[in-house]
Order: sequence, then C-alpha cells, then structure tokens
Amino acid sequence: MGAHDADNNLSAAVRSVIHKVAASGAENGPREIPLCKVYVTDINPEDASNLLRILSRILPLSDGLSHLKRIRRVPCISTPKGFTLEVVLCREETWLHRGQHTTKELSRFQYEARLATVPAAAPLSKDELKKWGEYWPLIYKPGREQHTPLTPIELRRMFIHANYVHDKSKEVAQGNSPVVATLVHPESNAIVAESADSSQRATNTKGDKTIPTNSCLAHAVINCVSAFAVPHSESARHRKRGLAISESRYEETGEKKSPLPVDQYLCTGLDCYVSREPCVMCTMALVHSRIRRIIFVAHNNDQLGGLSEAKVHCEVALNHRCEAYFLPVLAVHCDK
Amino acid sequence: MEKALEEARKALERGEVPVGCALIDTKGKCVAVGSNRTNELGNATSHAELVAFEALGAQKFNRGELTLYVTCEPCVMCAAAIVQIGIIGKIVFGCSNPRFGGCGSVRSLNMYKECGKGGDDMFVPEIQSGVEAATAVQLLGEFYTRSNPNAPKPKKRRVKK
Repeated sequence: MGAHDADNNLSAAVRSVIHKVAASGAENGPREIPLCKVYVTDINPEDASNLLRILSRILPLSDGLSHLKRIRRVPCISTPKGFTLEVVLCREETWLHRGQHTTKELSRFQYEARLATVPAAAPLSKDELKKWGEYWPLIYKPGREQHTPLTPIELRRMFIHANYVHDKSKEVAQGNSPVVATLVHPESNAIVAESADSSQRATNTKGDKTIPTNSCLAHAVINCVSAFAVPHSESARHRKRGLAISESRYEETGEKKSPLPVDQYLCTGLDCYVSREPCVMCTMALVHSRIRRIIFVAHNNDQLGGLSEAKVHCEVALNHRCEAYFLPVLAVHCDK
Repeated sequence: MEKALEEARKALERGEVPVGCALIDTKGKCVAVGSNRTNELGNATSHAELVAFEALGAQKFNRGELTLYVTCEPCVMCAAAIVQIGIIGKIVFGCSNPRFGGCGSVRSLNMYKECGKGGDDMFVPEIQSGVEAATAVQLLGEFYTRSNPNAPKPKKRRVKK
C-alpha cells in the first residue's frame, strides 16, 4: 500500500469520528423537528393583500416566527378558484395576550382562527427545508450556517495535533489534572505554544476547608494563552523593527522564521488543541483571544464543558465565534 | 466600590478598557485589587478579576469568604473563574455587560448550579448589580470615544443594495 493510500485511509478514518460542536446540531446530520403551535385562519383570496397589510402591522411575525411564510395555498375543490389560502396569525401564547385587540380588526373578515402545528425554528439545510416544509412553507436562508467540509490534509493534521496533546497529557505530573493544550498556526502547521495544566485542585485540601488561591485557575488553556501572549511594549518594539514578535523568539533559539504575521493580535487565526474539553473559563479565554478553531480529544467530566454544554464558542451575542470539534483520537482506527 | 473605581481609572490612564475590582474579606479589609491589563500584556485573559486573583498569591481563604467589587459585570470567563476558585461569596458589580457578561447578560451563573459538575470545588456566589453603574459607564464611555488602539480594524460591512 502506498503512502498516498495510507493518507487517504487516515483522513477517511478521522472524518468518520470527528464531530463538530455547534449550537444547532444541524452540521452532524438531520435534526429532530422542533414544533410549536400557532393560530392560522383560512381566508378568501380576494382579501389577501388587504389582510396581509393589516397583519404585518398588528401581528408581525417577529416573535421567533420569521422563518415561516405568512401565507400558504391549500388545494380545495369546493371553492371556485380550486384553492384556499391559509394565513399564520401568531403564536398560541400571543393570541391569548393580544387576541382581543386583534379580533376587533379581524372580525370584519369573519374568519375563524384555529391551531396548527408548525416548525419552531428555521431550517439550516436543504434537507431540513424539504422535510420541515411539509408542516408549513418555510423561508430558508442558505449560507448563514453553511459548513465547509474539512479537507483530507486538514483532517490528517488535526489528527496528528490531537494525538500529540493526547499523548502529552499522559506525561503530566501527578497531582495536576492531566490536560495539555497547544496553539497551532494552521497555515504552517507549526505549534506556537504548548502548556500543561498546573492548577492544584482544591479537593486536595478538603480537610481544612481552605482553598489555596494560587494557581487554582492555571488550567492548560489559560497557561497556553498566557505563554503565547506578548506584552504590548515588547510587541510594539518589534513592530517598529518590522519583525513578528515570535520571529525574534525564533531568532533567539536559532530556529527557522516564524510563520506569524507582524501584526498578530492575540491568538487570531490560530487553532487550539486540548486533550480534554475546556471549561467555560478556558473556552471564553479562547473566544476573547479570537481563536479560529478548538479541537478537543475527550469530554470533561469534572467541569461544565464550555463547548458541548455551555456553547460559549458559538454564542451570537459575543464579538467572536469559532469552530469546535470533538476528535476522539483513540476511536480512529487506521493503518498508519 | 471606590477602590474598584480607582483601579478602573488607573486602567484608563494606561490605555486599557477601564475595569477595576477589589476583593474584600469579612472584616472589610481589602486583600487584593486588580485592573484590566489585556492590552499591556497582550493577553486576553488579563481581566481585572483574574489579575486580582493572581495578586492573592498562595493565601488561603474559606469557601465564599470574600466579596468581589467590580465596576463592570464579570465576563463569561471571569464568572467561570469566580465559580471555580470558590472563595467568592458575593459579587457586587456596577454596570452590566450585554456583550460579554457572565452573570446574567450572555450567560447566567445558574448554569453551574444546574450542570451538577464541579463538585465541592466551586461556589456559586450571590449577585448585587447596579452599584455606581453610572460612574462605571462614564469611564467606559471615556475609553470608547478614544477607541482601542490595539484592536484590529473592523471589516467594512457591505452596503446592501
């Protein structure tokens, strides 16, 4: 078997186990349809334009229903045109609150509202649009949650770096949590920082009920971000010389030139590999640092996971979002 | 809170986002102060709260013993740190932080109670907000009119036709 085949096998094996962590879950195959109840009514096609104008004023579909088309056509033989139109009025709850005001305006059309079940969220893929659309016609905006598939080269590199932190985590000194994190510059595939967890768990001092404050928060990711951080004064000096910060570091150690840009801001564009899912603090530290991707090897049984549970990395309220992947390296079976 | 505001003013003078904090023990003694140093250190984790925790060194405290006074709502990262360090019994903050806040704005401390993880190490503190909020906002306002010189230039938004 040639090296080329082995590479292909490896990337295929990684692709089969890697799991993207995101808010919706749509990126890992079809989801269960979230449903909700709304009030709908049949209307005369002649009234449609008039009524829609009124509805958009008194009952806008702004309360999380903007993914629904307002109106749909239902085939009906008994009517002269061969179809009737159905219109979404509002959510069940909204009807209870605002029904009285609206019935007054709607009463002149003499429609009867009834409950219907519709998807509660926007579809994120064409498959979902097709399936969910059977309940009610939906608006689908492609692109917002589109996912570019990982290339075979990316998958192989991700495996190698994930495997590295996994192996390293076994060497961590006893007493500390066996967690190791690295920062990787994806274009050059170089590891630009590496740190292990050096926190002392408070449980060690359970007897006297006191907590040593020192290094309690020195988690692997925090250490790694701090190790990569460069004081502003220093970076300004190098900037003046037209050197990347880390270039000077590389100069000192006599290694090859740094791949990082001169104006590197925090951890922009870097990938973080960590042997165990980062806690909320570490995840937010990475988001603050403008990380590009977070890849973790194992789930976190001790702390609230910042990715799979708190989902801090894809929170739209924050000023930066990043991709996150769960890559259980031990599950990758392949002839290397 | 005066101490925290004082720290925030110092941060502003250094060209940092002006957030400051103070840690007070049960006797009312200030055991540590901290102010934002993210620009100076080029480290996004150097928020006021974490700087103050670092300043505590190896001192030992009881669970929930200290009160944290901070001018702006702790971000998601700092809130997680506060819960995990376990020694903070109460958070008193000035203005809330809709962009990053981890004490009710973007995330709430309840998620730590609900997750059932963390064991005996963590302590979920009570929260008091809105103390000297106007002063804290004013300081932040002063900073943002100058704008953060280190932040990358925001991408220009495409104008929709």
